[in-house]
Amino acid sequence: MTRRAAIVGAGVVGSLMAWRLNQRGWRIDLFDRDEHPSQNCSHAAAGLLDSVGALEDAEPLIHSLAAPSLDMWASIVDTLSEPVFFQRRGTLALVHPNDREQLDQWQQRIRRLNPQAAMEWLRGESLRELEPEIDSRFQEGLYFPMEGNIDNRALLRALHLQLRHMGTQMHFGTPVLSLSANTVETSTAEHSYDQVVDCRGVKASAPGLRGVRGELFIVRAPDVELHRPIRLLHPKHPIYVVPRPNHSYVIGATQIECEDYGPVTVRSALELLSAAYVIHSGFGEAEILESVTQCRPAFTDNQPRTFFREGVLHVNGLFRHGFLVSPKLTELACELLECGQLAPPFRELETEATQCA
Amino acid sequence: MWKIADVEIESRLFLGTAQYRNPELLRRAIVESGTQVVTVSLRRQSKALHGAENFWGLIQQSGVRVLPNTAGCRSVKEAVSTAQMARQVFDTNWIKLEVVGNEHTLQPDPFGLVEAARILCEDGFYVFPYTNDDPVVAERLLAAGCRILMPWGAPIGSGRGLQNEYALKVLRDQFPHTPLLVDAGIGAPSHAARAMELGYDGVLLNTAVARSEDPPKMAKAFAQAVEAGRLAYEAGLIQVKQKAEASTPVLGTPFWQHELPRGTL
Repeated sequence: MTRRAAIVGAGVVGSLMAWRLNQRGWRIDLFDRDEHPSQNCSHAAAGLLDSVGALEDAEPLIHSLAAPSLDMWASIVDTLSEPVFFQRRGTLALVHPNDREQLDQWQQRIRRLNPQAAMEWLRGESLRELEPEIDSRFQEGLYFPMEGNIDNRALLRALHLQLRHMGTQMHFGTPVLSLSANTVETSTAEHSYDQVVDCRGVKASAPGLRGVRGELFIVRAPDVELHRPIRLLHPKHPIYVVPRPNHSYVIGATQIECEDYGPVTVRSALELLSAAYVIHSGFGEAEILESVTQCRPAFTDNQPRTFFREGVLHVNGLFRHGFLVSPKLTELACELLECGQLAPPFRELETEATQCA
Repeated sequence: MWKIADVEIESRLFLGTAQYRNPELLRRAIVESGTQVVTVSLRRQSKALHGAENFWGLIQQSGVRVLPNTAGCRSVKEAVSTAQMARQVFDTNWIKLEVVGNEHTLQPDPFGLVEAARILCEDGFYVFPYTNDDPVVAERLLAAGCRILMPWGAPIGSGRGLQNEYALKVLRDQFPHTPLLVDAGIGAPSHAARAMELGYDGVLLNTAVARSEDPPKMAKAFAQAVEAGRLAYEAGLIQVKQKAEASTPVLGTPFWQHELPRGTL
C-alpha cells in the first residue's frame, strides 16, 4: 500500500521534500498557509549558491551540505518541465580598497577550513575580463569558480507545477492549526498520514528557533551587465548583487537580530543600494521593482537541523542557506526517515538545538 | 573584586556582543571569558526588541550585566535619546557613551562627549564615556559627573593595540582613584595584558574575540591575559635596566667555571 505523508510548509525545503518523497513512492499532501506561497523566506531569497564563500560566517557543515547541493540542483532543474534560470559561472567577492584586510581574513578562513576550496585572486585585467563593467576602483577580488545562482521564484513555481503533475495534493491557503506524528489539523478537517513532516520556517514547532530579519531589493537595471553574483564585503552584512534574466538584479541582504517584518528601513536601503551603486554606477538609473523583508528561521548556531520530535520529522532552521543546502539536506532527511539515523559526517544535524529564551 | 557604581565585580574583562558568526558562539564566548559585563548596541535593533527576545534572552540567560551603548551616534542629541531609550529597554542607568567625531577613524568627539555626559549624568545615568587619551578631556568628563573613564587604545576594530602607551600611563598617574578601562583597539591578549600591567582596572573589547577563528577559545585567552596583567600589576613589575644583572652571584663560583674572554689562556 502507498505510504502517505503530509508536508507542512511549501518553501524550498518543503517543496523539495515533497519532490524527493514522491520519487521514493510516497503520496504527498503539501500544506502552506498562503494561497500562492509568496510570503515565505524562499520567495524572498536571492538564490545565491555560494558554497565556498558562505564559510565567511558559516560553519564547515554548511559547506559540506552546499557542495553536493550545487551538483544536485543541476539535475533537479533538468527534470523540471518548466525552464528555470540556473547558472554556475562562479561568483566574485570584492572589497573596498580601504577594507582590504577583510578579504585577506576571509580567504585565510576558507583556506583553513577547506584547503582544496576552488578560489583564486583576480587582479587588474583578469578581473576586468570576467566582469568588464565593475567600477574601476575595484582592482582585485576573490573568484569562486564553482559557485552559482538560481532563480528562486522560478524554481518554486516550476517545482510546484511538477508536484501537481506528480499527483501531489496542494493545500495552499490552508493554515495548519496543529500537527502530530500522524495528523494535520486545519480549520476544516483533521487529516491522517503515515508521516508528518514539518518544513516551516520561523513558525515551525521546533524549540530554539528565532527569526533574523533580512531586507532586499529587486531592481531592473538596463544599464548594468553583470554576469555572476558579486559580493561586496561589508562590516555588518554580507551584501551581494545577484543577476537574474532580463537585466533584473537582487540586491541583498541585511542581517538584523530581530523578528520584525516591517518595511525596509531607510538605513538598510542606503546601505544596500549604495553598495550596488559603488559596484556599478548604472544602478543609479535602475528601477526598484520590489523591496522585500523577511525573517530567516535560525537555531542559535545558525545551522540547519533534521530530526524526529514526538514522531514528527523536522527539517528546519535553514537561516540564510535555504537554496544553498536544501537539495542535500532533504536527501538526508529522507535517509533519516527511512533508516532512522544519519551517517557520521551528518549526524550533528540531528542534535537538538540549544533552547533559548 | 572591584566595584563599579557600588556593584561588586570579579572579572576585569568587558565584552562586546556584535559581529559574532552566530549567537551560540557569543554565548560560549561569554561563558569562557568569565565576563560579568557585556555591551549591547541598541541603535539598530531598537525598533523591534520584543521580536528579538531570543537574542536578548540568550544574553540575559547568561546572567551577565548589560551595559548598553550609544554606538554609531554622531550628535549629542542622538546619543542622549539613544541612552534614554536604552534605560527603558534594559532597565539600567548604565550607559557606555559614544559620540563619534570622525566617520573614518570612529574617533570620539570630545566636545560632544563632554556635553552629552553632563546631560546624562544630571539625568541620573552612570556614564561610561568612550574617550580619547587626552587628560584635559578626562578632567572635563569627571567634572561633568562621570566616575569612570574609558580611553581608547587604538581606533575601534583596528586591533592595533596600545598606540600611545605614554598617554595611557599619564592618565593612570593623573587619575589614580578613578576606574579606568581601555576600550577599543585591543587586538591580541598581549595588548590586554599590557593595559592591565599599566594599572588599568579593566579592558573592553569585541572584534578581537568575535572575529577570531574560535571566539570561545579567544575569549578564554583574553580572560587569562587580563588576569595575568592584573596580577603582574599587583605584584609590581621590576624596573627596566640598561645592563645585564646576573641573577646568581658569581662570588663563590670556582674560577675555572667563570667564562673567560677569548685568548686569555
